[in-house]
Amino acid sequence: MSKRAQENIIAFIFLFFFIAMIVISFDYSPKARMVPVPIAVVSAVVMLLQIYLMNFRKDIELNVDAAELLTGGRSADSIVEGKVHDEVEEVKVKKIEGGKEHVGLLIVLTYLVMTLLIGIMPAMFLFVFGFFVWISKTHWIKALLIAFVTEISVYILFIFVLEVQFYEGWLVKLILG
Amino acid sequence: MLEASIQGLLHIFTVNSIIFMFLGIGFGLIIGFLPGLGGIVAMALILPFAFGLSPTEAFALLIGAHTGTLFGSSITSILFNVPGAAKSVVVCFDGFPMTQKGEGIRALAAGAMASLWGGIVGAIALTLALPVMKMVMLALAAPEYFMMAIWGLTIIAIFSDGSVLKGLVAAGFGLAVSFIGMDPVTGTSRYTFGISEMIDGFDFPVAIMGLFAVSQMIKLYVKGGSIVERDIDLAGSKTGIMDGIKDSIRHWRLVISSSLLGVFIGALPGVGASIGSVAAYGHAVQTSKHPERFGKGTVEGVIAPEATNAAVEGGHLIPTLAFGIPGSEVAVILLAAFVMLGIQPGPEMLTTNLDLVFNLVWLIVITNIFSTTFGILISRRLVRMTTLPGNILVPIILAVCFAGAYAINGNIFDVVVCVFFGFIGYYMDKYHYSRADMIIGMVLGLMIERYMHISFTLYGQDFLLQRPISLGLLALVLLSLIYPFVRKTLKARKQAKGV
Repeated sequence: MSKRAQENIIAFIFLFFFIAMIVISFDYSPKARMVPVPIAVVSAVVMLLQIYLMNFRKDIELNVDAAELLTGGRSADSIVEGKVHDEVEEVKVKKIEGGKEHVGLLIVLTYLVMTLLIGIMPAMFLFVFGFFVWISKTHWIKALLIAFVTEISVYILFIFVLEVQFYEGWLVKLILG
Repeated sequence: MLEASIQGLLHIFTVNSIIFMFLGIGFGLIIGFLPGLGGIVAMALILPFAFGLSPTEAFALLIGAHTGTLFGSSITSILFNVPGAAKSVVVCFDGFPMTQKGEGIRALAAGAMASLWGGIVGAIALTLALPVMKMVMLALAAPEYFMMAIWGLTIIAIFSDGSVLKGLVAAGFGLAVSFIGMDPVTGTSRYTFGISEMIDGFDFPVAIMGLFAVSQMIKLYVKGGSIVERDIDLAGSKTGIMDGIKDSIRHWRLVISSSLLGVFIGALPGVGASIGSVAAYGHAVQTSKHPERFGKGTVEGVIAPEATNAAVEGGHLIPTLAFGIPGSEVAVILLAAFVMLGIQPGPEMLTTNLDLVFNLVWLIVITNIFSTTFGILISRRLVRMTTLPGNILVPIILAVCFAGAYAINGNIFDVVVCVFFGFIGYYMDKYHYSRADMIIGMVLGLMIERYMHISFTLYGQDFLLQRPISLGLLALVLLSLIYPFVRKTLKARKQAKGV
């Protein structure tokens, strides 16, 4: 999918959010919607303007700057940003390969589901151990040790010192009642 | 007065007070390190231990804990983009980009020193302001608070990363999110879709943790490598500490003005420290010679909020000590400690217990000195953590974030919210919708709504015209909006002439 199409999808999601907010607001009393509605209307208008500029002014960049359009030329911000980037590039060291975006999101989502099902502490142990074994390709004994140390540290800080009663998980509740 | 001041100082230099002060600082640093848990949590947890102690020992413990959290939360904000507390979120805006550029140690040192100067200025201001602050507080009302919140919104354009329109959308989104939950005026449950957990709205620290920490970890996983893609020796260089210290001295005007702003905002009841740091950041941008560098890793962006955060503490104590009105959540805990220790805050405090007032003033200064020294000493080791590969950092930081999100309210729904905001934050960052603008919208949204309704009720629809101070503030807001454009145009003309 092209970058422009992706930008459009995100822009339309924002637009939908603001329009939905305006529509829902009419279920509330005038006082309750007095501030949210004008803010949603202004935001929706700004979003529409951004969508228009992104799609019908193809001579400009996707991250269009209103100030740039008014004054013309490249903004000082983008010039400075470019310089900074170059400086970082110069001293870059050996880079470890990253993962795919959907895998990254799925990892966080899996951890959340695990937390909801089996509780915070067991999910944390399994997540840290699993991540080190499957993603970081660490030896399982080392991964077990790291997971154990993380678990103990969190236990001491949150349960022992802060006296937090951690969530036990739906499955645990279901089984133990 | 001098005698009371000396007496207040001497109270600290007892073996017990010093031990309790160090215990407090150590505890505060640990709590500050944990995402989402700020000074309020540290003080609330340590309050029961103050029972049975003498007032000076109890204050040493409590103020020590609170000061410790300030530096603890700054460390995670600067190094990992994980704000330890809500008021440290602004420190991320430039602190983390500095770390990415290999200047984490400089950012930490500059922040710690600015915090020290801020604490000292706050303490001095507290001493000087006590007699006159009542007049100032009575002169300000809801319309002025409303205008101050509007002024806070004017800094949105700074973070817009090239696109002002996207920045405005992000801020509008943040404002919209802040309206989720119960309406403060009518009590209507808004945009909750019948979900009872959403009636109180999204918890601010939970949302921040998602927007910054979780999204940052996803980004780190996708990007690969480490937070700092530079040589390890460079990241932990010795010169960084001295550079940071020099930065805080070189920008002394910014430190003093941000600290005074912090004292002023801290003295206003109900205006939190997070608003103070946003205002300080805006002030730093508007007064800087290079506003275009903000948000990309400039040291002024670290110094201003750090100085304000430290100075706010002195400010909070003004209404607490003088009138028994807590200026913040932290001051509420302190007020509870006063009651527990049998001390009556109010005008009497300034006559019968003046030595205790000065004891608090000195404690702010001394705890800041110790936590700054300690912070600077350990900063080189801490910065090395940022060169760890993402594959090591991601699971551990995510684990701590999940535990922290749950621990804030003891509610599993907060963990879901944290992940939800993490995804939003990731995509906002990817498509250049400023997360900083969203946070500013979230911080100021409810304040704008609350004070606008109060102003309407008390002064009618033309409330701005009835209040000269509000009109003055409105002029300030308009100037803030126009000034960057004027400066940009003048600069362009100057460059054109030069060519």
